[in-house]
Amino acid sequence: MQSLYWRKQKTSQSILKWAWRQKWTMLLMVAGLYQFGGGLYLYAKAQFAQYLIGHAWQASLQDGGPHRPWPWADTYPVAELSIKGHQWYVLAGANARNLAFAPTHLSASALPAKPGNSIIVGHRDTQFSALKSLQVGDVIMATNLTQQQTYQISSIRIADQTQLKFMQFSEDEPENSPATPLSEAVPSLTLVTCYPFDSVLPNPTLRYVIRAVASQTTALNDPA
Amino acid sequence: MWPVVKLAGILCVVSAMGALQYAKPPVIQAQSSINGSAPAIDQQPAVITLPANTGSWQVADPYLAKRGSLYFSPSDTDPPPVYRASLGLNTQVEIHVTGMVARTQVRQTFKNDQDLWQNALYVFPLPENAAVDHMQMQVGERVIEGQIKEKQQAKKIFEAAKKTGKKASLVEQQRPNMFSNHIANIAPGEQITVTIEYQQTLAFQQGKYSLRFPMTITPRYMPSNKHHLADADGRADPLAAEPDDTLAQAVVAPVETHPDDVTNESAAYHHKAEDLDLQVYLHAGVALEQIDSAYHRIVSQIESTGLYHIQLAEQTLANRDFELSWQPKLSQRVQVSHFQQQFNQQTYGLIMIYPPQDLHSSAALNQDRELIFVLDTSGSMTGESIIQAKQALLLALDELSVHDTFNVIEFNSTAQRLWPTSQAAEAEWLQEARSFIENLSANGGTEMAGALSLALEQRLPQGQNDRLKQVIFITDGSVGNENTLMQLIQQQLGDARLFTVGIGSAPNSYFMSEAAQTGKGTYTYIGAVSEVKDKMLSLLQKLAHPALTDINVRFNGQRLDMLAQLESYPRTMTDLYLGEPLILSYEQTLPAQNTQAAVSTDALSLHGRFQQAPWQQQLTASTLQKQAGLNVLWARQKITQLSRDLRTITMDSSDADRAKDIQQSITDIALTHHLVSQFTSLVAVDISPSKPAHLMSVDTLVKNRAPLNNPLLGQLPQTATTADLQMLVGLILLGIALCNLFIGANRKRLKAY
Repeated sequence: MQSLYWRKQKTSQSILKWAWRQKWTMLLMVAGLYQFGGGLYLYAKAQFAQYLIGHAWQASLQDGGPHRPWPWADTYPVAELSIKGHQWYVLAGANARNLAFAPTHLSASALPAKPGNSIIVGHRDTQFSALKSLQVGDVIMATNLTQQQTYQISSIRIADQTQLKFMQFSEDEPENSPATPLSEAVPSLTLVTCYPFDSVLPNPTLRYVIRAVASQTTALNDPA
Repeated sequence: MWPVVKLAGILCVVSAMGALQYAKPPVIQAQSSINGSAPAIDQQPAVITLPANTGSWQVADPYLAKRGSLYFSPSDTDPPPVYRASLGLNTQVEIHVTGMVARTQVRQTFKNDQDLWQNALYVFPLPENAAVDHMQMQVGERVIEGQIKEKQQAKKIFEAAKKTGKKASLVEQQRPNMFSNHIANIAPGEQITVTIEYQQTLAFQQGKYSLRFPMTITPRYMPSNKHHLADADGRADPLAAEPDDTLAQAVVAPVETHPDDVTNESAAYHHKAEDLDLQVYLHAGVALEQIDSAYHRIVSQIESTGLYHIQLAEQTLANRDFELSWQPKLSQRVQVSHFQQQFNQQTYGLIMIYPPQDLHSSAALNQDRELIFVLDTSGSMTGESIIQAKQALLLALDELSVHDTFNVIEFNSTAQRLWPTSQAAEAEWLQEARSFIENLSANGGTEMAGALSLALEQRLPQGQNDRLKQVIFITDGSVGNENTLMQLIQQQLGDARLFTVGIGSAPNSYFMSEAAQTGKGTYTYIGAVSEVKDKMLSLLQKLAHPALTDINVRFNGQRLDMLAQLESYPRTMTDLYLGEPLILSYEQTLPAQNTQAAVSTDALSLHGRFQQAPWQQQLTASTLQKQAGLNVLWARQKITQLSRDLRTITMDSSDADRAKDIQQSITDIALTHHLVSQFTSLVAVDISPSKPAHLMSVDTLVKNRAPLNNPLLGQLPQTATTADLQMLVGLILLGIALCNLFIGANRKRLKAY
């Protein structure tokens, strides 16, 4: 009994000793796990949040009002996007906190599937990393609480973060240019994410801007 | 010792990987493959001086024109066409200024002085906030006239013209604020007369109005600049999506650095070629302190009461833009000017209210105020936003005067105020407020309604009821119930004024400017921490000096907004602050029989509160001719208002019928008043009498300036995370740790041998 106790004591002592001898390695290990875990956490957050947001969205479709995905959230889902097999819920308000969970809608722009240009911003590392595989002509479907709208990608470009003109309704653009001009009367969708993709550096100044123009609107059947 | 060396080694590896990311070439290649339409700069024909005694010269890009110009190109050039600038034989400019509305008519004559048939391109650089609404081009017998058409129809006309195979009728690229139109098939020796009209609203800055008319000649180059030019472009960021801008700078720069050369050269031409006549009819509505022209000598004379007629004193070389500025003589009192104009049997009016002059001498202007600061501390404000907001708020506290009282309200899921009633801006209260603000952090939901009613409802203590209540609302405005909030503001506003301050990368500017309008205040956008100070100070400065409050216009004693036959914009009058005149524009529908009588009566009066006492003034109108463009001003303001309504409807409900109605009335107004709008375009139609009326060159025009209809977006949020970087660094560290362990174990085994 005593010997067992001693052995235990001895083992834990020797582990401590060993750990002390290897202190640099241990330090590296802990730092490595911390960093890796931090990165993983961001992905996990983006993955898991979509489930909760999905629930809130279903609830919104039922009663037509906004629902928070989790009780302390400061946002609610406004639309659902599906592109080439990907499906995302879009949160209201494009701030850093919301972006960590899902693509977000710029509140100053029109709602998806409504007339006017709707701007949706997403993280290039999580959901919107899929944007790099999109091409001109691809079809995007957006659903808000009352309507469904099909869009077709009309242009893809890279812009500096200050070049907001690519996202605004503008009369300056010639009518027959390949990039169809935005109009207040026709629904259009602008998806924005950081560029370059696959870079590990944070805070790039370039943005990848995809513009899609309405091809077909259908009213959703009244869920009630 | 050696673990330290190892650690250093690891850091080297990590930073080397970081450095690799900065290597841009792969990025650039990726970009050019995606954005195939990026113009190749090298192919731009570089430019070109011609012998100084010919009347035309070649240019790189006609859209870089600094003034109204006509460019000829031989009829059958496939791209890239060569454009040759042609100096006008004769230019006549007539500018009518009414209050702050300037309407300009430009008439230019050009001649095809080559012995061949040519096409031409006319360009005119417009001032900001202006759109050409009338246009006529006469080429020999042909008359091409600008007509306002509904967008769809305009497009059809354009398509039809395209099908007839008129090469020259294609729209080329257009720059912002550049009017352009093509004219095809101009015979040798034929004259072209171009007439355009545009209207702009002048800004009142530092006590002055200023008006600019472009006269600088189009830049030219020594061919030796070509190399230099390509060089500059090579270095410019190829990712900037508008490489033309850099080109433009490169092209203009040499001209500006040697102004004398240009002057001498252009003198050579202008001496025989240019004949420029510029007349300004200035009807300011108030007495003027002085009239100045920055670069040209002018002669001004008074034609009739309040009407100045300004002309160029001598034939001038067109190497500088014409810039005229005038300074209204402000007095110690509020001044009002009133203009009327007939159009289509309706009367259109413009009322301008000028604040008193003095900022500091009249202490009576400093009205006692109650300031309520409302700060959004919801989760969406996390990070940079809350830092900016707190900074703005602390700055505002520093600016309070001893006469003011104040309170602070913060809200997220619930709203709470610092004190039950407002306190005087004395040291101890200020100190308490500061520490309250510093301890705030962002979390929770955005329940704005509670905070708004707390701010608006708060009753003043007895005896302080004449204090002017100003609510300063700092938020990013991410709310879903916009309409409910607007109603709440409308119902509870009372005598208070609501000033919204937008914070963060993408605040809901639409909601906030709308809320400020309903709250008779203004909206300020702060995009970065560095802007906080300037923007907040100018807002607070302004708020401290309200000159005239509770302004309303009455018609025979009745409030204007209650009357059916008078339709005025803006719908709610804000207060008058020092340094910023206010305008109101209205349309008066008159019963057909007593038109004369109704116009001549001075039934309009202006009411308000000046220095805390009721104030009123009868309005005497000065009637003007049609050129004044008051109807255009009214129509533009109405369209702006309708566009806001439209946005409200499409945002909050899917009332498609009402949206259609509004769209229809915007179109109708634009068609009646000959205006370019979001639903109408200006189309050039050939209305030649001699030939069958077929369609010619069709250029849809320039813009309604974006800010009118478009909520500001602010700045794009950052959309990259550190996830990948973190995981990478983590993996590297783990790998090294494992290697270390492995090596250590091996070494022990070796030692054991």
